[in-house]
Amino acid sequence: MSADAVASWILVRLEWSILVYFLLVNGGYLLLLVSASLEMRGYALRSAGRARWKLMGSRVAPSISMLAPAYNESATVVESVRALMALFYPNLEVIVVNDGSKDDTLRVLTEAFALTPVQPIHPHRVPCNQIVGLYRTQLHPNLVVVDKVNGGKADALNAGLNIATGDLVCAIDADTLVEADALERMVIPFLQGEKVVAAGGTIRIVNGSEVAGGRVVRPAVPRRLLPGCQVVEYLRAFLFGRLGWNRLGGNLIISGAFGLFRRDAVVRAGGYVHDTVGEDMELVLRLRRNGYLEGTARDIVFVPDPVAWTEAPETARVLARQRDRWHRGLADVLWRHRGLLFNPRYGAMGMFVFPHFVFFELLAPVVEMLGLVGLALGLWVGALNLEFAALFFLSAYGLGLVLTVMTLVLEELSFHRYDTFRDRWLLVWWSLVENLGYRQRTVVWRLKGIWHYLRGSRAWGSMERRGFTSPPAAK
Amino acid sequence: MTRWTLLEAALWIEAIALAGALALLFGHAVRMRVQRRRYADRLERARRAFYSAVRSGRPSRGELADLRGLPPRQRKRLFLELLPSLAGSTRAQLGVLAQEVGLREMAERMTESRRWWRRLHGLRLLGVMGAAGPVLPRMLRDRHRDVRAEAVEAASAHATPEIIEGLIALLDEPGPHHPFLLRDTLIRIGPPVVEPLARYLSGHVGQDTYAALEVAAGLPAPPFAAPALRLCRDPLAGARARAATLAGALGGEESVGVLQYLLHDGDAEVRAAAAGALCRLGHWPSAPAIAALLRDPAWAVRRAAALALRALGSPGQLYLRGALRSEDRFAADMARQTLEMPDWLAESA
Repeated sequence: MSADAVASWILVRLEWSILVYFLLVNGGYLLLLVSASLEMRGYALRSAGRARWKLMGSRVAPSISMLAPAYNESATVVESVRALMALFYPNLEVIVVNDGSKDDTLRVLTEAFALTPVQPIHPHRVPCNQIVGLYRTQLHPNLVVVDKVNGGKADALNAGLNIATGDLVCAIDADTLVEADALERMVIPFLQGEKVVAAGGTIRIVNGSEVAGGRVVRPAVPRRLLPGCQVVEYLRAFLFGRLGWNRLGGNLIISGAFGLFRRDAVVRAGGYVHDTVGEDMELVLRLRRNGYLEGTARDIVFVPDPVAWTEAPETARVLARQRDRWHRGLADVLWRHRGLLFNPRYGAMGMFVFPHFVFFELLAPVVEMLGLVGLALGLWVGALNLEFAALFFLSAYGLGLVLTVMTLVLEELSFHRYDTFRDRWLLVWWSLVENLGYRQRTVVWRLKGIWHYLRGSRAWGSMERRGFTSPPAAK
Repeated sequence: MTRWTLLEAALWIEAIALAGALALLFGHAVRMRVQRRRYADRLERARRAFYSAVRSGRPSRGELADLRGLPPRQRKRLFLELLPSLAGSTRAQLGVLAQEVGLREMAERMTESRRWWRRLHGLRLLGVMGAAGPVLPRMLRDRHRDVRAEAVEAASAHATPEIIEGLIALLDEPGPHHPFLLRDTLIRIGPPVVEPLARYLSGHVGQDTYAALEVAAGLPAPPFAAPALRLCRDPLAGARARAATLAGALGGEESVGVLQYLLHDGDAEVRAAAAGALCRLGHWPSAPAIAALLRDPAWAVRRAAALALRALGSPGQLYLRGALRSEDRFAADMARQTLEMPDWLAESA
């Protein structure tokens, strides 16, 4: 057998293996979609016409501490804090952690809210860098501002955990716009069962939407390519990814931008770890793992209708850094908890959920890149027929497209936040377009993430924000 | 079957699925828009009829016809949207109006459905109309947990002795029920709950008493005194801490003695609860014993003791000032923080 023949033989088999992998991945996603649809139907039936006003007037509603880390956020922090103070919830404490900002974040907060310093004495429940100042205000007795030595987001959240007095803690990013009734909705699983230790809400992309007074007043799908593709990605990740896992063995991810946790469980678990960029996923995995080890199953649930809006990167450079960081975080967390892989001691989490994340999330870019390179090589050496390769490519990405459009249907039938036909067409358009270049670029960025993780990088990279300026209202 | 046929078949299936999904997506959007247009005027007229009934107590015949003219689903939605924001006699009048437009009958029928979600929605509708009373005993025993939870929620407006007994019985099995709803409903019902709850507390110990003690602390009344004092000696720290809070809300010479004893309890949660309870009683002679807790190893106890001393007024503050010179750095720090705390903050702490 000649070298060419051997190469052809290998390339053809590689392509078929990749197709089988694609079928497995998409089969898994199809299962998730079915599970998500069932969950969504049950959720809609349970919540239709539910009166939440009783919670607002309840004397036994669990108290919530919002933890908002802020680093160099002087331009937006006052508006963000005002929006947090205006959330509908009866027993709310807002803790803003100034994580050693180099700008005048603390000064603008002090001026805007007439902050008064109090003795910075606090319990040391979880490790964090030194807290150098604590500030309160008579204007809003439930606002606490913590000034601490810089230590990163996880460290700032731990500082917040040390100060928090609420039964539940809600970790958010300082630039996240939380919808006014989101907490009322997100707290419901905690009211229904003692086993729930964490709940996550939906994150949506704010780019392109109309924002006023720290609230999204008219959601719209962005017209620019990168944020547009991210809207579709986020819908897919939250509406069928996380919702689907609710029924199939539980979630492993609660977004760091908006998650509600039982404080005593997080403190008992030791808080957030500092030396990872995937601190949100790491905490959730640890909470679930501890639950199994202690023999008390702990539920991590995803609630689809509490919504927080976040700004998506608009440039390829910033998006590349974000995806690199996310994938490094995923690799790091999965490696730290590798003992879960196919471990029957951890039930469905060890046997299904964790392996899914290893093989279909972490390794997906490796396999996809192998497929693309193999396809190109196969065509080059003549091992693959061009027409067959085109059909192969079409069927592989076509299944992804079908799943994405199904997610749009799920969104339409449940929340239909995007109300105009223009928005719906744009969503379909971005679902189609993301397969033509965008998806392949994310594969490269995620591969870089794996490479950087293997080289030991722990950098966060910086996010450039345009701010929540609204586009002119549509006529 | 060749690989070509396989691929072509896959593509065909995908194309059909995609077309179906797109049809569903845009079909639903079109249907929503058409419905919105079709019902906009009728919904507006029905809303006006509703407001007229709120103002005058009774809608005209024409307005009644407008309400009846809405499809049942829209009618249900309208009442669910508007009724919860009303209270008192207006709500009762609108309950009668709901009966006249056939909504109550529909809701009652729904509570007998085989489908859990129809029973849930029927009960929800009866609840906002204030007419859930007759079906509640049955619904509290429903086989679906969400229906039972809805029944617990609706029970606060129909607190007959039978229903209260039914709710108290649920305290024994908090697992399948929504624990928050049960506590909240019992507190909302108020004084009628006291006697049966006191009886329940007298017959239970340990973890079974947690929810009942929390409810009792929200409705302090003399019948709770005996069970509270008994549970202050419960083997479980959680029960002792909750019982201490209840004893603090009740007062009495005997309570003070037990609470002072609990200041030396082995569990930090109990010591903190006892300090807080003595503060709530304003028992300044306990200040020296509470001041000793400023040197407690647990932060929560030191904090509770310091706040209690500050709230006790001059005698307590004297001990706090004394603690500033303490050799125990933690006690001195806590005393300093509490003394420097502005009044508005100390009151809300």
